[in-house]
Order: sequence, then C-alpha cells, then structure tokens
Amino acid sequence: MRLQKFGYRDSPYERPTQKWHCGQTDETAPCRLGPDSKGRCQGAFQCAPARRGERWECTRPSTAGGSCAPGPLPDGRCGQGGSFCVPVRTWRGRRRVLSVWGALLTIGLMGVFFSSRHDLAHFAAGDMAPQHRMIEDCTICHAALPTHPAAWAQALTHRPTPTVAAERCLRCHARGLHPMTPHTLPRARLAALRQTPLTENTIPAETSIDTVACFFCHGEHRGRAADLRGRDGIRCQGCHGRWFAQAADEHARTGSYPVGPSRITFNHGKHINTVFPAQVTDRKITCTTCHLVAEGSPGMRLQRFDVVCADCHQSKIDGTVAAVGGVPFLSLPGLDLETLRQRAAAIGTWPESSTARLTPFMPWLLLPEAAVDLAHLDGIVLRDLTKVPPETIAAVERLAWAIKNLVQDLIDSGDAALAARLQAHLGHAPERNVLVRLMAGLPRDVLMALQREWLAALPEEITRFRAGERVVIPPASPPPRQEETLVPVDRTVLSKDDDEILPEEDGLLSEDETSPWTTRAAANPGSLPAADPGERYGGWYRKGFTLYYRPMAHADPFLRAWLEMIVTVAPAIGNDDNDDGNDIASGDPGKRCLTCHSLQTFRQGDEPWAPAFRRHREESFITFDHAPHSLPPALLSDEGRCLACHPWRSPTATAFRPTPRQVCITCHVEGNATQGCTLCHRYHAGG
Amino acid sequence: MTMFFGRLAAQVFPTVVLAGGILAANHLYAASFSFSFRDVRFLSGWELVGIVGWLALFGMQRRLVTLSTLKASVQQRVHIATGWGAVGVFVLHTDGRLPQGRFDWWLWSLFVAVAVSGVIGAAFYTFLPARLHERPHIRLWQISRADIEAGGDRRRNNEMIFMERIPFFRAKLGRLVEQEVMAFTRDTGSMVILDFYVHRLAPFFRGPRHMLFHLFQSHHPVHRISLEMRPLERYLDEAGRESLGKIEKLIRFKDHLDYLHAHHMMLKGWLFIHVPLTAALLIVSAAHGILVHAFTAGSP
Repeated sequence: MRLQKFGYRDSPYERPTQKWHCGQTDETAPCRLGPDSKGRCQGAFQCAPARRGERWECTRPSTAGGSCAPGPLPDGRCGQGGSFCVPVRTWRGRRRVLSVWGALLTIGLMGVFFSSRHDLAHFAAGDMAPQHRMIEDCTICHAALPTHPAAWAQALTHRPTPTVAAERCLRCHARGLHPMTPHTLPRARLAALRQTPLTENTIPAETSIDTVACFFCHGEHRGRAADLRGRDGIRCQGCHGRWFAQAADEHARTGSYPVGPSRITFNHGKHINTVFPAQVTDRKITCTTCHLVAEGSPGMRLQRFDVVCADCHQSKIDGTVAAVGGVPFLSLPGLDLETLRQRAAAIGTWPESSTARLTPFMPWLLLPEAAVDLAHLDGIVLRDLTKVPPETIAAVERLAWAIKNLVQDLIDSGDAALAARLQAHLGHAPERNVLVRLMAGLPRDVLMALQREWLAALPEEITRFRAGERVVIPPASPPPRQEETLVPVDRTVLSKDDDEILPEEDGLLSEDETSPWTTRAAANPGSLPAADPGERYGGWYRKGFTLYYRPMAHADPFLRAWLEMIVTVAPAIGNDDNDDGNDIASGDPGKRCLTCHSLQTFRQGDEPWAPAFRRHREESFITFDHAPHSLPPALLSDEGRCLACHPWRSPTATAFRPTPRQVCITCHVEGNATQGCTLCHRYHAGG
Repeated sequence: MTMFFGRLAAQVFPTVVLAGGILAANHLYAASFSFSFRDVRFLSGWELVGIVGWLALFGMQRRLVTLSTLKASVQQRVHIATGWGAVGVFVLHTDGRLPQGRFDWWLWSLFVAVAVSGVIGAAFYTFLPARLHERPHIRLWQISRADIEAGGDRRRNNEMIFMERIPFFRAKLGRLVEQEVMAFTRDTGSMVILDFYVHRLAPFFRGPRHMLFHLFQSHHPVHRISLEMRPLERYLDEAGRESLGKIEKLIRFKDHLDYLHAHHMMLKGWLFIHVPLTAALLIVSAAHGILVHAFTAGSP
C-alpha cells in the first residue's frame, strides 16, 4: 500500500505531534507556518524571508505558489500579508492537557486522602484478622511510623530492622527467652543443630539467618478470613533449602518419633500381660480406656487418675494401709545420749528412747547453717557416737539446738518461721498461697502437744541457750509411754516396689462388669493390714518422735508444693535416689509420687506434673494432631488401630517402637492428603 | 477470513511469546524468592514499577534514535505484549484476589482501567486499520471542480487520508458543493437544489456525521440522502440533474471522509482514556510504594 506522498512539492508538512495547529484548518487552507510552540498565530506573513548577501529572498514554497513577485520588503519582512487565526490544539496536545489535568486531579485527591491521617485505615492493605481487630492505633504495631504522611517517604531509605518491628508483637505474644532466633531456640542449640547431620535432606542450609521476625510468616492485613498462623510452610525453605514436594518420596525418616522421655512411667507390658491379661483379652481394657482423643488439643489425653488408677493405687497414696503410712515431716532423731553426757555435750533435754531418723524435710526446715552439720553427720549413726571425734559431737550439739529452735519457732511464729527458713534456702520468700500448701494447716496445738510430750523443758532451755548459757543434758529418765501405744508397723508385708502390691493371681481380680479395674482392696479389703488409728484420718499425726503428714488423696497439695519447690531449685531431682525430692516424694517406707511420676526430665519453668510427652512435645519440632486421624469410637477402641502407628516393641516391653514412616505416607501422598511442613512440624520449638 | 486470522495470529503470537517470557521469568525468580524470608510481593511490585514505567514511556521510545530503527508496528506489538506481561505480573502481585484496603482499591481500579483500555486499544489497532483500506480510497487531495467534471477514476490512488487533514478536506468539499449549488441557482433561477442544500446538505457538510453508522459499516445515512434527492429530479431539467449528480458524488466523498473520521477517532480517542489514566496510575503507584515501605517496616 502506498501512503499519501509527502514532499514539499506534493503536500504541506503536517505536524500532528506538535501541540497546536492552524485554526483555519477546518475552514480554509491552513497557513504554512502554523502556530508556534506556545499556540500563538504566526500567519501574519506568508513566508519568513531569507537573507542572502545583501538581498532578502522570498521563501514561500511551491505548494503555496512559489516565490512572490514583489519579494520581501527592504527591512526583511514578508511583503505578502497573511491571514490570522486562533490556533487550536492538536489531538496530541489535547491529550497532553487531559493527562496533565488527570495527574493534577490525582495529586489533589491524594492530598485529600493523605491529609485525613486521623483515619489511617484508609491506607491499610486490608482488614486485620479477628484476633487483632481490637487494635485501633496503628502505631501499636507499626513501630517507626512517622507522625506525618510527608515523612513516610523516609521509610524508603530508613526503615527499622525486622527485630525492632517485631518487638511490637512481643509486647503481647510471649515467645520465650529467644523470640527472634530461628525456631525461638537458644543460639547455642541452633549451632548444635546446624552441626548435626539429621538426614541427607533435612540438613539446614548454610544460612546466616540469625533473626526471624514474626511477620515473616504471620502476615497481617490480609482480610478477616486470613489465617495468621502462617501455615503455608513455604518459608521453611528459606533455611531448609529444599522443598519437600513429595513427603512420600523425599521426606526424611521419622527417627525415634514419638518415643521420648515421659512424665508418666507406666509399664504397659506389665499391666497388659501380667496385671490385667483377662480384661485385655475380653476387651474390657483397651488403649482408649486410658488414652482419650483430646478435643481441641493435638495430643491424646490421659484418663483421670480416679477413673483408671485409683482402685489400685489410691490406698498407697493416702496411706490407708499400714504398710505405707504417712510422710515423716519433723522428728527428734535418736541420739547416743550416754556418750553425749560423757563427752559433756550441752544439748539440754532430749528423749532417751527416740529411735527416729532425720526426715527428708529437715534440711529444708533447719536454717542453712545446719546444712554443714548435716553434711558432716551424713553416714554417721547418731545412736552410736562412742567413736566419733569431738567435732562430730559438736556438730550433733549444734544440730540438736537447731531442731529445738525450729520447734520453738514453729510454736511461736507458725508459718512465718517456715517462710524465713525457706527464704534463707531459696533466696526468696515463698508466695503466700505456696506457703499455705507447704504448711498444710499444721495446727499449733499439735506443735505444742509435741513440745510438751517430747521436750517438756524446751521454753526454759531455749531461753537459757539463747542467753548463751550451756544447757547440759539432765540425767537419764524413763522414755515417754505414749510411744508404745501405737502398733508397730509390719514392714515385711509389702516390698518397696509398689507394683508388687498388686496381686498376680487372676482370682483376685474382680468380675465387676461396670469397672474393668479391680483392686485387691476392693476384692478383699481385709487382705492388707489397715493403718493404725493415728494414721486413719489423714493430715498430721505423731508416731514415736516423728511428726507425720498423711496425704488426703492423689495430687495432695502438701506433697505437690514441696516437690515443686524443691525441683525448682534442684532440677536434677530424681537422678539420685538419695536426694531430698525423692525422699519427700516417696516418703519412707514406700514410694508415692515417683512410682508413676518421673521428675528426672524436669526443667525450670516446666510443669512437673504434666502428662507424658508434654515436655518432649514442647521442645520438639514435630507435632501430631490425633483428632484428624481419629477414627470412629467403635474403631478407635480397637487397639489394633492404635498399634498400627504404635507397634509393640515386644510383648513384655514397657513402651512401643517408633512410628514407621510408611504409616504416614500411606495417606499423605500426592492427591490424597496435604503434605505441608507445618502440618507435622512446629516452628516455635523454643517457646 | 484467512486474512483476518492471519492478522490475528500476527498480533497474538508475539504477544503470547513476549508476555509468556515475562511471566516465566517472574515465576522462576519468584519461586526462589518465596523460599526465603522475603515477601515475594516486593519482587512483583518492583517488577510492575519497571514494566509500567517502560510502557508509560512508549511515546518516548518511538522517538528514541536507538529504538526508532524498529518499525512502528513492531514497537507497538512489543508494547502490547509487555502490557499483557504487566497484567500477568499484576495478577501474581495481588494473588489474583480483590484488594482489601481503600487505597489499594483505588490503585487496583486504576490499573484495571488502564489495562482494559489498553486491551480495547490493542483490539482497535488490530482490526480498525484494515477497515480503512476496505473502502475505495479517493484522491481527495486533488479534488477540484475540474476533477469532478472530468469524472476520472479515483480508485486507482491509494492515498491515505490521515486525521489532521480531514477537516480541511471536509471544508473543501463543503465549498465545492456550495459553489455548485450557487452556480446552478444563478444560471437557472431554480430554487429546488438550493432549498435542499439549505435544509439538508449544509448541516451534513458542516461537520462529521453518522459516526456510529460508520463504525458499524452501515451505508444507511448516505443512501437515505440519495433517496431524498430522487424526488428532486422531477423538478429539474437535464442540466439540473447533471448538477445534482455532481453533488451526489461529493456527498459520497463526504460520507467516506466521515467513515475515515469515525475510525480515526476510535484509533486516537481511546488514548484519551488510556494515557491520562496511566499518568494517574504512576502517581498512585508511587504513593503505594511509599506506603508499603512505611508500613511494612522491616520486611525485605
């Protein structure tokens, strides 16, 4: 196709890209010069004469008739007058004007928009999630938000670091001691993890990311229906350089999951195969008898103690059988008074017939100064001091007066005396509610009766001792009679292993259809010796020269309070059978708490009585929600369903084998179930 | 029909290739980007800034020396393809969801308006230029009374009439018709043609007419004028009918000018929406960038 020919002989020169064109275009022939760039008419003359040497020559083009005959005027002006017009804008010029006005209008609207800074919701990218809907002040989250919109542009070059921005989140959302580190873990543990080759495809990449701000995963302003939990999992690949598109093919082995340290030391094999084989065979006892799907919680819930354990274990806890008894709290240990008299030890009155031992509570009840003496006397038989050196006699003397001071202080000051002693041990006074539980309502009358019967001259002797006087031991006298009124305990009836109190004979188990649990006590209440009258009603009682506390029931506040206090300052409790916590928990002569509860895995800040695997789960990168996997009750009661994921290690083993990965990928394959990282893994392993 | 699909393919194929390339590059980079702690929307946002900025400078690109070596049609295809790529990146940037905030609604609406106007303009550029050649072209630049009297074949010249010259041609045709009518009236004293001219033809020649009919390629208006002229012949002698025939030819020339004007208006008129909206879009985008950086403190 041939376009219109252009040329100075064929057509005038059009200038559609200029802003203006001749106003006579629509009427007659437009002038040749056209308007200037500012839209002013230049049509006064038909040409702009050119000077050549001394002469002015006409430059009118041939399309306009060629050079005119008269030629330019002598002063160089065109001699042919042109026609004037009002230039009009070209299409392009009009478009440009419209664009400028559009831009100005936009800027004006923007000014109005930005000037209404009292309502910053104008600028929000979207509604906030329901959890944050109550926040009305933007600066609560946007830390460095400048006060005026004009200053917002500073953010292009001076933005706060992710740490500074995320600290606003932490004002409400506590995330442990290391909220900004990857996985909220201590950096030392992160370093250890980075050096641990987990498996070939889960080794964290060589990343230098030290700070992970909250909003990297938890995006806000994504609408009311947005999920704040950041569960897409794609962020994980920032460090774990590989996207496990196929859990079935590429995921690492499941390792030892879910086998880990447990807070409940329950022997499954013994209970199923030895204690309740008939009930298990008859399906009166199944996995779901003790393990329940917890609604709203990922883990399983353990059935309550009073439902599944109490029938067998209650009597041992509350000491209603004589073999168990109460927990020894305070005692006047038996001393070799004859030797002490011979060696001029000044301890005042002391019961001659006492054979008691120091209770596990005594190191905590006595002032810390006595700890040196207790350590010195450790391993020494206090009833035989004939061959001990003088410093041991002195330690015994100081110990005796420490005990007497304790008794007198408890009588005089009650729980304040205990609080002062615990403050000396712990460095801080126990809270009031804790102190109440530590005292368990120990009556002053009990203490006064104890003092009258054990240490009748205590007030006078204490006064003399505190005055600096040496109070010698009085001559020997007959032992008090009330000690002999109590029935001695036959400690040979049961062994210390609590499990042995359960009969192994099937015939002892009840055939009661309403409860699968059959206890020896229920089947034959008279088969165990009952506690003596002093122990029968629970609470505080004296026996010999020892003050006992008999727990009321499972989770007794007194024992719980003492154990919680002790494990707080001694995290390694339970590692040593001789430590105070074990002694207190067990309570001579039989174990109580630690038969089923393990405190070995206690860590400061933990809840020591949490169910099994809780601590393990909190520190783990793995989470498993049983609820989506739960089957109908009829099927779930079939232990075979549970054993599919938790196979027996062996019929007599205490626990189970790890869950094989094959079990997971039976369902979690492409097109069947989701396989995102956070489906099974927890990010916040550290808190 | 073959030519139609050929034109369509010639327009669509490079668009698909270039826009697909932009999206593929974005996808590959965004995949690695999203594996990190960085927000992939920052990537797509800056991509959009670059692409929209490039598109906004289209007029300048055509004047650049280095790019002016490319044919205008090639530059136009690159512009259209890049525009489609921008639409794809925009969808990625917004996750294909509607905006939530009021300011974002403003920005989103502007982008969509610019994109839609661009799509319409691209459709105009694809189909309307061909229409300009579907009707016989008339060498209007050389129209003169002598030409009309000579009755030469005016279809041999493919001279294109572009927008800026149409008013001049229209005025020239108007003058020719007026001269013809006045000459006939002066020579014969008959007022038949003069009356028809005053009441019917003068408004027709005064400006562009029947735009919608022309866009739908309808000949109805000019046929109606011709039909209205037929009864006049009964009151005219041979010279009068000859003069009426010349006027009818000029009417058809004017009708063709209107046809060209209507299509040129469409080809240029959509830019009156597209370009100002683009200016507004750039301004609001800049504010959006500032807002994003001010309120997403700390995000990379």
